[in-house]
Amino acid sequence: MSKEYTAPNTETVQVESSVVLKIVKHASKHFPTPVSGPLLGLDTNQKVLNVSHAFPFPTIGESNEGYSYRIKSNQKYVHDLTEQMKIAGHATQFVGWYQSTTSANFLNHFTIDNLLGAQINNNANSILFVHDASKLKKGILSLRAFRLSENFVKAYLNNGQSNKFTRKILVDNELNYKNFLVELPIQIHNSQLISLFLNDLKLKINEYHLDDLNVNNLIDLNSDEDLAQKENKNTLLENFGPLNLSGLEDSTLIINKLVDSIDDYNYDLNNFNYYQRQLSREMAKVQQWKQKAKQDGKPVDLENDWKSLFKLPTEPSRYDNLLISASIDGFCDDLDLGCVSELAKTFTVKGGFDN
Amino acid sequence: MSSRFFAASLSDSESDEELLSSEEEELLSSSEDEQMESSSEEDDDLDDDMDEDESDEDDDEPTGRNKFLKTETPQRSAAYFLKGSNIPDSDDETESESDDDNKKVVKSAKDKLLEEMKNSANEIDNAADFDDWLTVSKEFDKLNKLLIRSQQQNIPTPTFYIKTLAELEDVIILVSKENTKMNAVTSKAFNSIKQRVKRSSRDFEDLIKRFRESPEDMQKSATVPAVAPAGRSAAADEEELDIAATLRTVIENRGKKNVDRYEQVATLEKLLQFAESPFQFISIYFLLIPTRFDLSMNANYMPIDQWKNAEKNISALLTILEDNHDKYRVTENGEAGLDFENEPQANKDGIVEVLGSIASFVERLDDELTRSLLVIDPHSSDYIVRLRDESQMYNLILRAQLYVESLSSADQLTNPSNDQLFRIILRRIDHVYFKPIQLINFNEKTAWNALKDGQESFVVKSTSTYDKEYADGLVNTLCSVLYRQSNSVYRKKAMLCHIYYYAFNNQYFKARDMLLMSHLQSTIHSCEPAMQVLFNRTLVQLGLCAFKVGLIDEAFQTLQEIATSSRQKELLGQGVQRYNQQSSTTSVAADRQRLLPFHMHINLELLEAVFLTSSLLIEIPQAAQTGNNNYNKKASTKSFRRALEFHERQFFQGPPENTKDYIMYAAKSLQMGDWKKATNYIKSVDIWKLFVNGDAIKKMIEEKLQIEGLRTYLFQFRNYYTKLSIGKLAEIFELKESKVSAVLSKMIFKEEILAALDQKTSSVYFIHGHELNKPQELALVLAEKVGQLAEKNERLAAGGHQQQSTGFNSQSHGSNGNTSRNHHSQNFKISSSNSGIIAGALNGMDNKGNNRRQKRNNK
Repeated sequence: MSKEYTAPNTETVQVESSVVLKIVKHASKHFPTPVSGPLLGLDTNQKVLNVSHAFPFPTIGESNEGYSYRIKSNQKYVHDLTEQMKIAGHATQFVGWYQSTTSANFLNHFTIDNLLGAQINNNANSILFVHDASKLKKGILSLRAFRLSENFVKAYLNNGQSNKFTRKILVDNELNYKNFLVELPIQIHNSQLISLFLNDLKLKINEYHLDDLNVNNLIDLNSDEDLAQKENKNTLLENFGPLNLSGLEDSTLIINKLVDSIDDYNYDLNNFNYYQRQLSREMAKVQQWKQKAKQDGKPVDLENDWKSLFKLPTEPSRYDNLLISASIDGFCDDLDLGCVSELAKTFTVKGGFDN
Repeated sequence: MSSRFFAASLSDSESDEELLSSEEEELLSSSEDEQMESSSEEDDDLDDDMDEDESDEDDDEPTGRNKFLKTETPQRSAAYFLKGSNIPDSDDETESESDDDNKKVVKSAKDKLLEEMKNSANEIDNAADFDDWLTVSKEFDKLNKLLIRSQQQNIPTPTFYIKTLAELEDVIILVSKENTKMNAVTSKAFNSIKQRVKRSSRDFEDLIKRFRESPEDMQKSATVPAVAPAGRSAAADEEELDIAATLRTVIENRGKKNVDRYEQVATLEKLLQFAESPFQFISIYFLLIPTRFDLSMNANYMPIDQWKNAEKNISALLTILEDNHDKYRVTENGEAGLDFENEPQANKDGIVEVLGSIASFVERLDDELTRSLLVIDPHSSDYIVRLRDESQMYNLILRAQLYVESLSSADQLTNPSNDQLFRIILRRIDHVYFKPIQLINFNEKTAWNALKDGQESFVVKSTSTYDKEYADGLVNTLCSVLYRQSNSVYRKKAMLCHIYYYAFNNQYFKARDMLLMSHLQSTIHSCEPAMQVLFNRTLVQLGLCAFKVGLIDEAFQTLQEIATSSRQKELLGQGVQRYNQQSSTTSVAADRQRLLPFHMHINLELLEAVFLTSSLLIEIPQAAQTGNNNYNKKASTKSFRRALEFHERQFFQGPPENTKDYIMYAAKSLQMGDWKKATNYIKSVDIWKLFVNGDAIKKMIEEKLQIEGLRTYLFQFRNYYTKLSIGKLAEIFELKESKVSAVLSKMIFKEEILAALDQKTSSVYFIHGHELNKPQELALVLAEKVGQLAEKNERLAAGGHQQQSTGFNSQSHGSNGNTSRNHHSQNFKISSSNSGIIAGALNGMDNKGNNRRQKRNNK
């Protein structure tokens, strides 16, 4: 079933802006419920992976992020989709998924397992788009492309395709919570039609003074130099955004998730501590035995014979730890980012009170 | 038996049947007889006597005297003369006592049986003469069956049976010598009869021998075990020797396999009737009592009748010892000797010391009582009936104590050699400490009354007035004797019992102080399990006592550990853990030994009710104080909180059914500030009636609920008020205004609420504006969690080093160090970024609050 795994060769991802818009629309429509869908595109075996189409999965409201890839009907949906595209004459193939999330919440078993499956069985260049819908509110478009690192996949394959990552494997493959996922740079490619639509939209905004931050920022992201200069009013309007004091909600959400993650982490660590204690106890026994054997002067192979006499506890998998660490890291980054502005606001308010 | 016989006397056949059905009952005693008969030759005379005694006890059998006469010269019974004409004339006696009015007189079953046997015997004789071995075989079978039946009815083996047996033997020997030819069937029958006769004659070997020696003598009497013509007076000459000999055989057989212990007990019981000197009695009892205990060695518990007999024996022994206290004394350090013939030499005081231990007997008897109480279903009436024996047991303990005391003197109370006395005193405490004063006094009274006048104890004096002081004094003095012992087991146990007693009888402070001063808490872990169980019981009782006197906090703290344990039953010695797979059968047995009989149990439901109620009174105001989130709370009432959460989460909340439900409902009402409803809920728990003064307890709970209700109300709703009238509060909670002010002042003083009392308007002002908002709370939680995480990581790192030091597998510990380093860096990151933020946020908020306050002050 599995093809020979070859290292991924793409270094950047080029996304059609329609794809981005579709993802954003899908995600914001269902926020805060996480959504997902397949990505279709072209792997040209060059350095660039082209993503040209995105379709939302028909199912919404997943309990666990990344779970919807596993649903049979969704897999069939993907299959049908590629077939239809072939019939329509588009040169596309399945290249990965997108999913919306809150901060680093997407890092869980389902997501990683699916991505792993796709990278091994489907296409080594398969990617995962993660869109942090919660950040849209603050006017930030967060769309990131991830792929599991080559080392991780190799470690998985060499380890008999199991998620039993022991410390030895992690060290041998130089894996840690920071590098098991590789983020790829995204280039957004606008077709002429889209540019036109956006410019049109911007004009309308100017007319009605819509301060829809989402759209504004989208435009910013794809801004043409000259257009931005024209819209002075609009930029002013944008700049009031950070004065919004109600941004604490997001931090609250993230802190909640962080607390949960830390709980998980502590749980995992407990298990590991237990293992450590067991191990050291066993080792003490082995040591005793060795000394005794030495004293008795028995002709024993001190290095190996004890293995038949003592059974060391099996080391628990570090896989969970890896994921949880990564998600904690992600949460912390986001919190750090968010809190800078929150703090500034707090002290501003305080200053206001003092005067 | 006799009534059955009356009924049976209507017709022959019926009586036969009736008797058949009664055979089973008598199987036991008659089989003993039989065995005794065949036991040994030298015991012959004795056996005869015993047979006589056996029948003495039976109502429907002719009395011993009758038989005595009968066997000498067969007589017509009185019945014959009354209704003579109807009775078929027979050589044997007919039953006399039963048929006074009956016209129709019947042969007794015994006569019938004997007649049948006689017929069979004649048949055999005839058939043997004609070499008709088939008939012989058949009749011999019949005869044997009849013989067994007759033995079951305590009919001695008839002489003609022995005669038949002897003759058959002769004929068989003759026939085998002659070697006459027989057909196949006959020879087969002959061979089988040969075998059987051999077997039977082996059983009756001695009798046959006697028969061969003097057939005339034997034939004189109708039945074989003829009463020794010498009679009692002659037997008396030999009895001394007999007793000693029998005692020795019993001792030799003791503990051996395949020894019928019942038989031994019966033998010893017989001996008692011949014993004359106190020494003989003492020796016999010393053998009889342990043998009786041996009876139930493998059984679950001692049969009740045996227990009663043992109790009788022990008290009889005590009577003998008491009567002869100037000649004999039983000590545990007397000289060992199995010499039953000769009394040991008296010592210089003219007192014979006998080795033995009254204390052990009493202890064993008490243990047996406990064992049987453990087995009997505590909810059945059997249990109560059995429990009545406890007062007997107590009497016996007291008696034993007095006897053992009489062996020593008051100044010997610290002497370790007086161990016997201390053991008995410990037993006495065991029977006293868990009872209410009234019951103790009642027991004491009956026990002292049962004693002979003039007996007095120098440890505890008897009294004419049994009141609280007496019970207190009793436990005090008993315990203080044990406190002076060097053996720490006595001291610990006495101490715990003492504390238990005080706690049980509502003297909380005394009990608590004693427990604290005893310092048992620190050493109890190294004690044997039974002691730990007692400690736990004492602790629980202390907690219950604290609750009874209204000390909620103390009750909660004392009970917490045991009430929240999942092994409550095991800890209190009230049950064994059900699913303990690792435990072997021996450990299960050991566990069982630790159990206490039901009447000593502490009611677990009561324990639960008390614990939950105390938790409720502590927890509900606390929960209201800290807000309804689950963070940042004292972990002390976790179990209650969990129960409450579980209750809230329930899909369907039906009306309260058990204690827990009631208390949960009460908690919910109290949370809403409805103390009246809460009180009603708690009052409707009917377990309170287990307390002696249940109504007072309910009243106490009500008062507590009023106060805690007030506190909860203030915590819960302070945000919605700027000020509250004290009068109004007093009205709501039906408290005195002064009480409300007192509660308020205390809360303000403890900084539980920010408020001020205004005495002019008699109201309380709340100061607002210092509550935390959600992110701040979260931040605090986060800080705590991160702290935990850091700690775990530290441990992880430490574990890595440990491994390094063992020098195993450099690869693995290298990686371990690596991962832990990773975690560390990450950990630092979290703490540096987040806790900084948290601190910042908090500082900001705090400052904000402070500033506001300052501003207000400025204004």
